[in-house]
Amino acid sequence: MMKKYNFAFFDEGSKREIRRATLKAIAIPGYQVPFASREMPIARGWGTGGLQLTLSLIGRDDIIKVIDQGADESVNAVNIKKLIISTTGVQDTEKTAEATLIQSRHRIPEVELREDQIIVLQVPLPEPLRTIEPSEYKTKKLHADQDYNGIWLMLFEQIMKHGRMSTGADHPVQVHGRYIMAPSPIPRFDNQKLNDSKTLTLLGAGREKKIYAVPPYTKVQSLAFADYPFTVEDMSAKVCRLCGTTGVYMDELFDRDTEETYYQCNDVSYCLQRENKEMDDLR
Amino acid sequence: MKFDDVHDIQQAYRKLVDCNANPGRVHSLRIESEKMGFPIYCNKALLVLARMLLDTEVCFHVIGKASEIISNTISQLTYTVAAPLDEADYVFVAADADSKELIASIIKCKLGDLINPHSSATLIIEAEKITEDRDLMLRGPGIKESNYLCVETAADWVTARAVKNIEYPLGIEIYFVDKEYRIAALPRTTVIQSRGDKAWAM
Repeated sequence: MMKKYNFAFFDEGSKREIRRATLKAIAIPGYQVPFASREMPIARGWGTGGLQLTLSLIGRDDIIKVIDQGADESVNAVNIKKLIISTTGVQDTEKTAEATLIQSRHRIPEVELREDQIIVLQVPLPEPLRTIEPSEYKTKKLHADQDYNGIWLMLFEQIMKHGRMSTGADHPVQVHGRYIMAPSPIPRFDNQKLNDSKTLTLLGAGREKKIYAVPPYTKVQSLAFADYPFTVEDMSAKVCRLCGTTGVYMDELFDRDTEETYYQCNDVSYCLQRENKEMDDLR
Repeated sequence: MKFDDVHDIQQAYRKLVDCNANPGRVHSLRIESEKMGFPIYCNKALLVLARMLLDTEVCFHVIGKASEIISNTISQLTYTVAAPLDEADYVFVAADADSKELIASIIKCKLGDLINPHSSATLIIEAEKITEDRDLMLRGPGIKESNYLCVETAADWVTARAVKNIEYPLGIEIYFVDKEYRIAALPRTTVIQSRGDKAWAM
């Protein structure tokens, strides 16, 4: 019988292109390696960068987990997962600890990742300097010269206007003391998980045709000023209404009938495992 | 068993990713390499890497006594064009290359520029033996505190590499493979801090 697709959807030439870029990205932490991004059966900007990385990495023994803003069952996550599984036949899981390969949109799971896992983050806008410089050539030159005055000025202006740095997600970081990098639109709460992580983090932007990486045990510092330190969203006093946990990243929900504000874990699989008492020792 | 261009390459690639992400970690490409059935004149692990990384988008250079034969084999297998040392994206240094050739490959290979630091060469050097013995102490991204690596080659390449990589982010990547098909990687960020007591093979 004729196979409909090659293993992991791509032809081997496409995988080679992504693999070459990935290896260089790991060698230059935080540097955006350009690559010949492929057309995918999902729209650019919907996770094609992450998907291309995942498909170039995945093997028959892998166990895949795909999440979209903490949820395993959102449309984006389910569709990406279906494509991966239908072209590879690999096993999937919702439990973070079971996965060997995790593709995520805008969150790093609450469960601490291990050395034998790889996390792939989907990136819409990989260039942290884009808001201050529209020209790609010029931003590349700014990175080359390590000229990051513009981004510091942007943060300074936020403090002047709002009294604090007003980045909600995608707060820029400096990697290995050199490149300033967009950590993808993860909440500030997750920035700290990138620093000195045990896991290889790969970031892919399909529309923007860039791959970059943070190897394990690499210094990742969120940009901040001495008198305006970097702060994360304060979750300390919030309690998940489902599993009762505190100190993890929460979604804020509002009940219109009772006019009550309540919280629940953003990382759904973490919350479920807590509810099922499966993971007290995993965090 | 026949070499599988899809799955064997994927397995080898994941090991290479792990070596790159954790400099000093040694993996084995024995399973993949031993499936290379046809007669060849170099380490089969070199060819696994060639088949993993090379195609018409890049160029390569081979250094060693049988460089022409190896070069032709790689070209026939991957459709990749050979190029001079200073233009090649991938430089293969066979075990029979002498010490001068090994050092010259590091000194003369492509370095890229500050705007495109990724366009530097990747060297794939065949060593006598690779172990995690306490010889070179490695520090840098991917390493928790320090890792150790021992690579026996024809020449002491440590200084030449340090000079080549002096202006980070400019630098080259080096992958080592040995006769037992072990593989280790040294990305440009890895700093070799010191040597252990073990005698260095010259």
